[in-house]
Amino acid sequence: MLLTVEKLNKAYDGLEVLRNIDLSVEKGEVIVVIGPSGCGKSTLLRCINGLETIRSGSISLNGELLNRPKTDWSSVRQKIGMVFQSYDLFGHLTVMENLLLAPMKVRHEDRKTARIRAEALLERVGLGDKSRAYPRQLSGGQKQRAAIVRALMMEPEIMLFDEVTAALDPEMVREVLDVILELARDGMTMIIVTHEMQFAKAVADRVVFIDGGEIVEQNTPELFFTNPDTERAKRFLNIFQFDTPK
Amino acid sequence: MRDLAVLLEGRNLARLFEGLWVTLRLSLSSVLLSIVLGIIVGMFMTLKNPVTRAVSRAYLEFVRIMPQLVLLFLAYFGLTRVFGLNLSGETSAVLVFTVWGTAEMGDLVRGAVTSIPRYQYDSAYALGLTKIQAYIFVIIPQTLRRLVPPAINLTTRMIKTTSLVVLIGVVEVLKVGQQIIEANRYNAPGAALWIYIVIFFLYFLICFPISRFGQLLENKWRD
Ligand SMILES: Nc1ncnc2c1ncn2[C@@H]1O[C@H](COP(=O)(O)OP(=O)(O)OP(=O)(O)O)[C@@H](O)[C@H]1O
Ligand SMILES: [Mg+2]
Repeated sequence: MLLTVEKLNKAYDGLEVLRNIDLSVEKGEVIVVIGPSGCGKSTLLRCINGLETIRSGSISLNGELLNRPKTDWSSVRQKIGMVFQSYDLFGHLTVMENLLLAPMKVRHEDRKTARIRAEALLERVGLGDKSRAYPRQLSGGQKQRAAIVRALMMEPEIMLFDEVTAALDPEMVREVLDVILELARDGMTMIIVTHEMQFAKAVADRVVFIDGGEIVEQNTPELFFTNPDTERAKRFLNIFQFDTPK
Repeated sequence: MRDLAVLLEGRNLARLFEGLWVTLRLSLSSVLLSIVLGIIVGMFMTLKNPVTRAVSRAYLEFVRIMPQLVLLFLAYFGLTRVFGLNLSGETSAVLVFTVWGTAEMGDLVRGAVTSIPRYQYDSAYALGLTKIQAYIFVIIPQTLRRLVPPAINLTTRMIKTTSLVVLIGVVEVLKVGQQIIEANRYNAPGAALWIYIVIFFLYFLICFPISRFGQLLENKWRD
């Protein structure tokens, strides 16, 4: 197992947000996490890379326990890439400087080799001509693609995506999802939180449905979207189809 | 012509520049102190603790409600009466402008720090940057970009406000001007206009480059 989460509990000031979460992710697996707003999806991702402290339970990466008092989060987070919903590029740096910052400061890579990797990755996501642009000069979709590349620069073993298209205009959603689909094809291990059901169906190896801070159902995308095991998932999907006819 | 000539008579122009130097000395000491203390106070103001919040709020409101002139009188006359502290006009002025400037600067720092979205911190940490690295490479540069333009604005406001110290007997550029006008009241009654025009230019000479500089930075850093 690449990532194992066991009996994870998380509370914000006494308010329970995640309860008894058990989740294992194999190398190369693509997990899609769905669930109603406020159910704890973002919190789960943030706990996995230590942006939130947990109340109890365990999180291990490659068998190594992460939630110890002495965890070197800087080195753990290099193995866990994360992209957020909102634009998370650093506004005072160009795209290229955004990509080089962590490789140079955290991995102590020299500028030249990091640059070569950055250019290749930018080319791959169709941003070959944007390396000198500032984030404010990019469209929403371009920013998110650049943010994905920035995370990939650290050569992570697993990527976490938290509704990376939720803040985008509809016409830009596609270009970002295509990048993620390509990553999936290349065998990247990923946990993806999304409300894009078509995309979820297409990319997921397994769907994890969270409601009220608990994992209510884990299933294959085929079964989950046509004939889920649980009532709660059924209800959620009905509401969803009602909201977004596709 | 008689009026204009007053400017060049004796040491009049030199005295105006000496007055300007007093103005500059007062403003620069207050501005520098306010920047240093304002950064510390601003950090204090960002704390989420309700007590520190109330204290900083009260401090800021007090300084904003009180006219600077009242604060000056309080420092210059009040402190002498009550505590027997005998502060010179200049010291009282620096004290008052620093107390005022620190509050305003602190509020600007607080505003700049809290305007950095949480995602900027999270993204930095998620990339493996340590807390110190995140601050050095991401948070502080962005905070400075937001802070410098309004801080420059405050600086020019402080420079202009120092003219109030005339009223507690400090002889700065405006006071020198008035003295020259007084001395020539009968032989060149029209000199007043020229003196004030020169003072206007002297203020302009100091404030314009500062505020231009602020605008340049603002355009360069817009994001
Ligand atoms: N920093 C915080 N402090 C207190 N409560 C929080 C905090 N962050 C999230 N919560 C609460 O925790 C719960 C789970 O939030 P979370 O952001 O994980 O939900 P989500 O599933 O990602 O929702 P969405 O689909 O809207 O993004 C919510 O009730 C939220 O109000
Ligand atoms: Mg969320």
